[in-house]
Amino acid sequence: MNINKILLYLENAHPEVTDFAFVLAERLPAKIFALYVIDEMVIKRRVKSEGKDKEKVKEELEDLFWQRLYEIEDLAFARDVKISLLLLEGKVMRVLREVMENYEIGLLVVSRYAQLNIERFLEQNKEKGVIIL
Amino acid sequence: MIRLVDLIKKGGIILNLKSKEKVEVIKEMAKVLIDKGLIDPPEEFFKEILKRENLESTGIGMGIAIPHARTKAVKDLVLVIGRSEEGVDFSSLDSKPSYLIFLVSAPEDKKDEYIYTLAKISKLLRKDDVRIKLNKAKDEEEALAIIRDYEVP
Repeated sequence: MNINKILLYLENAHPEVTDFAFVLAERLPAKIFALYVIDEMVIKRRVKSEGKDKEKVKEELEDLFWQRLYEIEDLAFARDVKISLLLLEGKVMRVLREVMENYEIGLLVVSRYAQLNIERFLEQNKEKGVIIL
Repeated sequence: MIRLVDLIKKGGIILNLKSKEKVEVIKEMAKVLIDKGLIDPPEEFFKEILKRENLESTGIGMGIAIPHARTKAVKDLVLVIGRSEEGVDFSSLDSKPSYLIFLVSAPEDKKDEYIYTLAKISKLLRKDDVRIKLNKAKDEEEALAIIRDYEVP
C-alpha cells in the first residue's frame, strides 16, 4: 500500500498519538491531515447538560479546536512534517469517511479514547488502513 | 486579551492587492511592515514564512489564506490583511483561490499569543457574514469596523 497521506483524527488524542503520526510521516514520507470534527451530537449533549446556547457551545469548541490544530501545526513545522489543518462539522463517522475519500487518504491514526464506533468504521472502510493507539 | 484590530498597523489593510502570485502577494503585504521597520531583516522573515508555505497549505478554504511565521525577524505580533479581486492560489484544500489573505507574524517567544491569534482569525473567517462583508468593504476603516464588530473578546 502506498501511503503518502495520513489522517490524524485528534479527538481525545494524547501527545503520543500525534508523535506516532509524525514519526510515520517522517519515515514514509507522508503528509498529515490533522482533523477535528465539531460533532452535532456533542453540541446537542452539551446544550442539554450545560444549558448553554447552541452557538455558544459551537464557538467554544471552535476556539479550542483551532488552538489545538495550530499547536499541532507548530510541532509539525519544527519537524519538517507536511501538514494541513481541517476543522469540519457534522457526524464524525461521515466526516471521516468523506475526508478519507476526498483527499485520497491511505491511513487513519486515531486514539483509542476517541468517541467513535471504530469497529463499524473498519467494517465500512475495509480498504483503508487504521491505526488505533 | 488580544484584539485583532490592535495588531493591524496603519496601512496594514490592502484592499487592492496588485500581485497575482502567492510569493509576490506575501512580499507585497510584508512590505507594509518592512517600511515601518517592523521586520528586520526581511530575508530571515521570508525564509521562515516561505518554508512554512512549502510544508503546508495556509489556504484554509472558503477563499481564505493565512500565511504565518514565528521568527526572530519581528519583535511584535503583527497582522496585515490583503484582498485580491482575482484571487490567489494558496494551494487551498478546496482547490479554490484565496481572496482574503491574513498575514500573521510573531516573535519566537510569543508562541501562545501567536497560536491564539491564528485560531481567532480562523474562527472569525468561518463566519459567512464576515467574509462577505470584508470582500465588499470599501476602505480600510470599514474593514477594521467589520473585524471589530465580529471579534468576540
